[in-house]
Amino acid sequence: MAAARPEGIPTERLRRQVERKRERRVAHAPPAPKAVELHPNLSDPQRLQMALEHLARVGREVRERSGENELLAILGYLFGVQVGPGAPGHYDAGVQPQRPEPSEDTFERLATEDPHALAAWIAEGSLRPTLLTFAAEHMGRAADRALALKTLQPLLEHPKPYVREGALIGLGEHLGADLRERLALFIAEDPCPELRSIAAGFLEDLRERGEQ
Amino acid sequence: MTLLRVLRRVSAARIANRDEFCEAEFWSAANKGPDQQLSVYRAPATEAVRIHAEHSASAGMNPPRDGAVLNVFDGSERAHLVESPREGGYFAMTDAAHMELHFGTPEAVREYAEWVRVTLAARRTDVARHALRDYARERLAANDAEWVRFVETSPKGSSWR
Repeated sequence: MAAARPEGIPTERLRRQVERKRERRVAHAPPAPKAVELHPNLSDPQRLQMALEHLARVGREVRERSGENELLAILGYLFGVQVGPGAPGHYDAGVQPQRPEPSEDTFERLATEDPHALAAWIAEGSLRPTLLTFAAEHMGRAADRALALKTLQPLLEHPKPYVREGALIGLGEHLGADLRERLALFIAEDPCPELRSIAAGFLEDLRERGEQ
Repeated sequence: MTLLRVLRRVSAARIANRDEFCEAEFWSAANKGPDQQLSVYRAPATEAVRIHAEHSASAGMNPPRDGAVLNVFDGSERAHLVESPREGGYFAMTDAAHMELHFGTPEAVREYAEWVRVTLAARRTDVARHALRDYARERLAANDAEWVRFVETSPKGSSWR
């Protein structure tokens, strides 16, 4: 059963705004893009519901800190990502939506206000490594320990050492006996001695606390 | 002169690309570009442990972990050193020693970052986790008012005991 539609999401108004923007773009574009079929996801109420909830969360955050242009840009992007090509707001087949550049400030705020959005952003894989490392560090400040662990542990396998370091720092905020095995494995396998040393320090912290 | 900067990622020394290093270490969250007002501390390298401990404690590092401090003074005129004492922090010395390197353009920061990257090994003082913890415990044992206040009032204070 689909959940109730969240209140306060001006979907029709938003759709019209995005459509107007698309029309302006198309007016200046070279040849008209090939018409696309509506994505099948549009007919999936649960998928659409998730998209709307995601949009509501991110929209609130962006509206608080920036102007309408950025809000529209990110909403257009999210329509594309969440609903798929062909959705209203996914301008046309030849234009890739661009999400505004996030920053550490964004990650810091999301970690406390909407850690699920930050986790989704990290898991999505779109952040470049130099941002991902700081997103991971701030994810460690999320109060939801299970979410933080689930989000950060996969990053311990990231090819960039400084991303693995960000994940370690984040996990360092949630040290517990259940991390002991993962840290031991990291110490055994990671090629970077500085990072192995950080992990070893965390294990020592656990021993000092008596959490074997 | 010695200008100390706490390395954000100890593994940054392994970055081989100029722009990647600049983004990892010298990036401004506010401007989403190279940080043209780079935070540094004017202090001798012998104060590396203290600077790192007080910087990390103030920044809410939990728990203390291995780190490194770089001497980032290059003697050139590509940046202006501007006094920028912090107010209201836990530690008067690091607050007073805080300064900023002001750069005229993003490209100047990138060039500076590249200079730091290629000379990093010679400018680096490693600060081990146990050195940070020992320093904090020593200050607490000496009943240092700043550290006592920090561990008693900061949400992260307990991990430094």
